[in-house]
Amino acid sequence: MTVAAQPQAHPQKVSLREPPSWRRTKNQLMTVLMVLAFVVTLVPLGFVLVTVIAKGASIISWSFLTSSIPPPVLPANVGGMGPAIVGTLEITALATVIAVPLGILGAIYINEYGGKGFLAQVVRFMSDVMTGVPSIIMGLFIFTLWTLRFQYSGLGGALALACLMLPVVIRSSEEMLKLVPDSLREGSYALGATKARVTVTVVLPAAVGGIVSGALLAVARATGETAPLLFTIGIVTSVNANVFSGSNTSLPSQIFLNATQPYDGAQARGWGAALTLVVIAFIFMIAARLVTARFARYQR
Amino acid sequence: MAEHRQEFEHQLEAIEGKVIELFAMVGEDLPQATRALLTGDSGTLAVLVERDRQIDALYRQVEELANKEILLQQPVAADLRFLLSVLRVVPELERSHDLVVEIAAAATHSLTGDLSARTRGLVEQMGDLAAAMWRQAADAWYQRDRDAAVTLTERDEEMDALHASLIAELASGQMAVPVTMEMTQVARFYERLGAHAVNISRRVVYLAGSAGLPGGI
Amino acid sequence: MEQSEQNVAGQTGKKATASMRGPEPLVRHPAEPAGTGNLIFDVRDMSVWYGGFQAVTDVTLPIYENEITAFIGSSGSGKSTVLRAFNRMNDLVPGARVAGEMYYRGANLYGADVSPIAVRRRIGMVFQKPNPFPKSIYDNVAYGPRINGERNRHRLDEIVERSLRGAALWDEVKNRLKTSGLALSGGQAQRLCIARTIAVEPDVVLMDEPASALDPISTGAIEDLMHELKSRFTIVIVTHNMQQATRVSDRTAFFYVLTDSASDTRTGVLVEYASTKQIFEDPQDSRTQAYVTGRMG
Repeated sequence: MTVAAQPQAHPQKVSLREPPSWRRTKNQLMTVLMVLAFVVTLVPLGFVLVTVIAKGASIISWSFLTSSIPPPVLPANVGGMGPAIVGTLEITALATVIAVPLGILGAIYINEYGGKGFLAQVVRFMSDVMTGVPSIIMGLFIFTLWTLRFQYSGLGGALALACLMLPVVIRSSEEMLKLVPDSLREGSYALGATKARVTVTVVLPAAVGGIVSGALLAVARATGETAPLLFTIGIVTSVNANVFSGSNTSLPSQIFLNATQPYDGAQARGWGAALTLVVIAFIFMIAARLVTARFARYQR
Repeated sequence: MAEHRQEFEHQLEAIEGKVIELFAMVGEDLPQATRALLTGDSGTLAVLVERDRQIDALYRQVEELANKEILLQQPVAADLRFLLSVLRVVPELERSHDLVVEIAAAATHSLTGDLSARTRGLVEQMGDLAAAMWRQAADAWYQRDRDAAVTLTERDEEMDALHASLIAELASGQMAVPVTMEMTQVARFYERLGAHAVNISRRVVYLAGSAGLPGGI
Repeated sequence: MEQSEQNVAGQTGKKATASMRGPEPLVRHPAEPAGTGNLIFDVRDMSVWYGGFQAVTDVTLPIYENEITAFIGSSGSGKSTVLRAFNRMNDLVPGARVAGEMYYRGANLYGADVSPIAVRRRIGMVFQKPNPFPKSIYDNVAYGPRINGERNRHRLDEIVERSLRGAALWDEVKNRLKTSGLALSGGQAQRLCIARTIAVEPDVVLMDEPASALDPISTGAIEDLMHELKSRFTIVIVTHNMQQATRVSDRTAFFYVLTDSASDTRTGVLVEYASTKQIFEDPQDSRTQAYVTGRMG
């Protein structure tokens, strides 16, 4: 092996350091500001979590989760929030069953079939508008249309929640469908698939992770809504398993009711309900993550 | 529209220039060799030998250039036909100039005085015909004339006829044996020069391609 | 010859004037076909519009069975448009319209009662950028047969293996058929797409620059594959790579962008169509010569 010529001494050393300048300082300043902003954002979240856990943890027990709701004046160790938990779960479940399929179908229409057509544009616009409508208006809407005719029921509450969830599901599903590259659709068409088959066998499976997590987020949000339920489900203190008729209750409603009572027992039960609600929402978030991870198995 | 591959175009032009130079050298030296033979001038040989060295050098240059362009440029269509034709034609040019040198060499063997009139006449005719055929072959190459092959084939038949006459004349035994043997070789040189000219004109048919012909291929 | 206008998306457009078309294209048919010699596609005076823009004008050419035909030409000359017209993929573009005639084995591709779905089951397509579905390798290849109604597990296994072997991919993936199709390298992914396409046993395979996104080794593998597949299918490929056209194709069609300075419009036309040897050794049209020698981009 031949030896190359001796490397010459560099006549002038090249400096790769950035010279000290205003730009560097600005960068550091911005970094600090960003970290501060992050911390500031976390503070209320942390505060809420800590407070809820601190104040509600002591009352949680199996009997708390299953007993009927006692009159507010009774102390904390009597009764529980059983009916409220059942109510929340069944009303939210019904709302999901109504809103999610409709929302996904709506998104499929907008993205795959409607294109730039008038109807698609209308649906898109109205979804955007609906995301901004205050939840109490939704409650009022269902109250006038439904509850006045059919009395309080869990179904009324579910309808109100569904109105809140629907635009969220439509918009997030549409975004997920848009993310599916056209090359996949082309590949499916080229194999002789009809439009419906392309959508069901290629587009939906490709977007399903995002769609499901979007739907779960909508559900998590709906779980915590109070205002629309005020007019539509009434109040009960024992479990109403029939979600279609008869008044019902939910955790947010109970938190509202108990928080305004002067009795310690009611206060404690309110905090317990709050903690339960937070835990339920948390479970939904984790489920969303797990579902996304499972469906993303084929994405890489 | 903008033309690309200017560098390649320049290289092709350079090769063409050298090929034309080769044609020119053969075309000039052939009549000189004939004249030297008929006048017994032995000085011409040295000149032509020097020219032959130049031709060998030029021939090698052209080959190298053509090889390089074929390797590096992936030529197709007219470019490819040109480069392949160059590689086939320059050996013919080089060999032809060797024959011209041989004819001039015959001039140094002091035969001139011993040639019969008829021999002299036939040699002159063959020399003129060969020179004419070479001028035509050079033109055919330069103008990419695919029809020249037909004409040159006909003239080659003329050359063959002259060759046959010369051989017959030599066989009649009028001249001394060494002279006869020498002139037989010279007759063959001219006949070969004619054949090379015809070969070149056939290569030009490939080079020219068929674009513009009615009905294409 | 009758010209029928098939209105694909319900819009109208201007037909190009005769001056736009330029001189007659040079279409020569060599005596010995490389395949069986049967006529697969018979294209007559075909034009394609996208809205008001005429992408190709009056294309006439025959495609023969079991041969590889290459379409070459600069960008915008309409080669991909003509290719996509063969399997009616232009239908997916809103505003696309086809005039003239395209016959596939004697049947009018754009006839009133022709289903594009049926067309695409017989005429498959491989795209420039490999597009495996986000499913397992097995499910990718089985996709076509499944949507055609095949449910039997054993038959599907057979089809998957046969197609992967046909695409020269079986040995590399036979132990991981359940892994994601997206995890494959570029060359493997493209071979997977080829396997997917041949799994439905089409008659014709169209390839739109199939190797342009791949490295030279993968390109070589795809080209070898094309030679093998030629005996079972008819292949039409669009390529920018002229050396690929010479290595792979039996016939070559050269497309060109014709500009009409008077009306400031452009359209693609077919200029010359002959055996690949003819096009690349002795092209008749000066524009073909300028393009294949790289003088004109």
